[in-house]
Amino acid sequence: MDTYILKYELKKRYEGLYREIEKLIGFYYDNILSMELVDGMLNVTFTANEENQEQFKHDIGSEIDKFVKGYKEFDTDIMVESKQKKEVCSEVNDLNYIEVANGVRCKVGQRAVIEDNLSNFIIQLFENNMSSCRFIAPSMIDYKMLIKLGYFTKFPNLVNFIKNFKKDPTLIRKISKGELNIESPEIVDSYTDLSKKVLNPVTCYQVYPLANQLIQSTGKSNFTVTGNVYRFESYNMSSTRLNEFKIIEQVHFGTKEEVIQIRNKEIELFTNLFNEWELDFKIETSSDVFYGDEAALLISAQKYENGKFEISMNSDKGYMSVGSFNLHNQYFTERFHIYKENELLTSGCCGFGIERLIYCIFSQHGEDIKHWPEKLKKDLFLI
Amino acid sequence: MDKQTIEQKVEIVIEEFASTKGMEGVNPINFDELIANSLDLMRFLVLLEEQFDIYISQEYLLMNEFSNKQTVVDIVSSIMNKN
Repeated sequence: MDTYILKYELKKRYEGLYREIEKLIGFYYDNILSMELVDGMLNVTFTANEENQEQFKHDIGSEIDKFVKGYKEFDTDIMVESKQKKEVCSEVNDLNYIEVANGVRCKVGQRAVIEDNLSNFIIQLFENNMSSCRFIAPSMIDYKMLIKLGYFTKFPNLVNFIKNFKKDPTLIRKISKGELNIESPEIVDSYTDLSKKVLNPVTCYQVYPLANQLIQSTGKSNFTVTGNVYRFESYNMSSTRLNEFKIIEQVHFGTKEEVIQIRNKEIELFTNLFNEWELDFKIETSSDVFYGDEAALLISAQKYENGKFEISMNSDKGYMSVGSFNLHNQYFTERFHIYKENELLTSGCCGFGIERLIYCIFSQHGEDIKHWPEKLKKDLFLI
Repeated sequence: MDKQTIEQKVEIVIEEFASTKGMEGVNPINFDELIANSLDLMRFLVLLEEQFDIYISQEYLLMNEFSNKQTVVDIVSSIMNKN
């Protein structure tokens, strides 16, 4: 493998465009070493074999072309800024946060207690303030359902598939006796079939297919959903970018006005809470990282309709997204025919990534909980 | 570019966009149904930008005037005059 440079002239020179391309490339290519913008020229350094480097330059060039064509520059509106500002955040070296496989971590001792207590606190906060119904999301979801939910058009690169050994007693017996080599994933592949289930990438995806039934049987239109999610970002794993992580979110259904009203209430609720916990955070307009030919258009559409407000918190790695407040419009309700009194409903959700939230708390207040704000310790039963 | 040419080209864009949605022959004056959501709007803007070699910035987007032929023509004229 050698190192090559792609030089791409960015004709649209917007500050946000470079950042979005950086995210696009960073998310989807694992052979990019660096990227810099010099006088409107984007220099992308990558590794490749001599025979495929030209092809790669062409592929990535046309990927950027498509993105630039659909890109729109939107101002980032800061909706909320915390009272607290942290000049310095410490690096987190939590020994109770142990990596057991790439992007997979177990939490031990006090770290596990904090995660459980924080999760329960947020669940209670949703339930007490939004009169919601609790929903525990399973870790697997039907493959076809994920297609219906539109995940493959937006984030196909993140899907974690499941495989099972073929239903062949002879094969199973040989594996059990150690007569077949199962050390190499490539060989195991030939003994297996793809499952009709995949690991669930988004907790609230379990709610939409059941929404009509849930709304009718519970009389509720808000659901507090908890569960682990799985997103495969191959080379991109770290303590704050995991293959498996926990999400707590609230999903709501109603008229567009009702859903926006709930979103505003949630923003107020968490602004007050995180100010009380003396955290340095901000809430601003944002967008998802989409994949595919229409990635830039999807980003623009989401920003245009204020579809996503992101909450990020300061840490030793800078401001990091820990959650978001999302308006889906009728994207899911149309797919699953979610109506009330003959009116197609709107949906929205608000969710937090628990591992990241804890990481930012540790980074801002330190790993010794003795030094944490009293209100935070009290809320998490750490006194 | 004179206003009549801009009008004709806007009509071409509307027809082109309508054909991508299988809605040929849509009333080119008001086309609310054609642009059903924000993603449609962004797709429509890309076609307009390509046709006129312009960039439609956020300030024009926030005017919410992209579902009527005459207002689209006015916006395109205004951008082209600025250029």
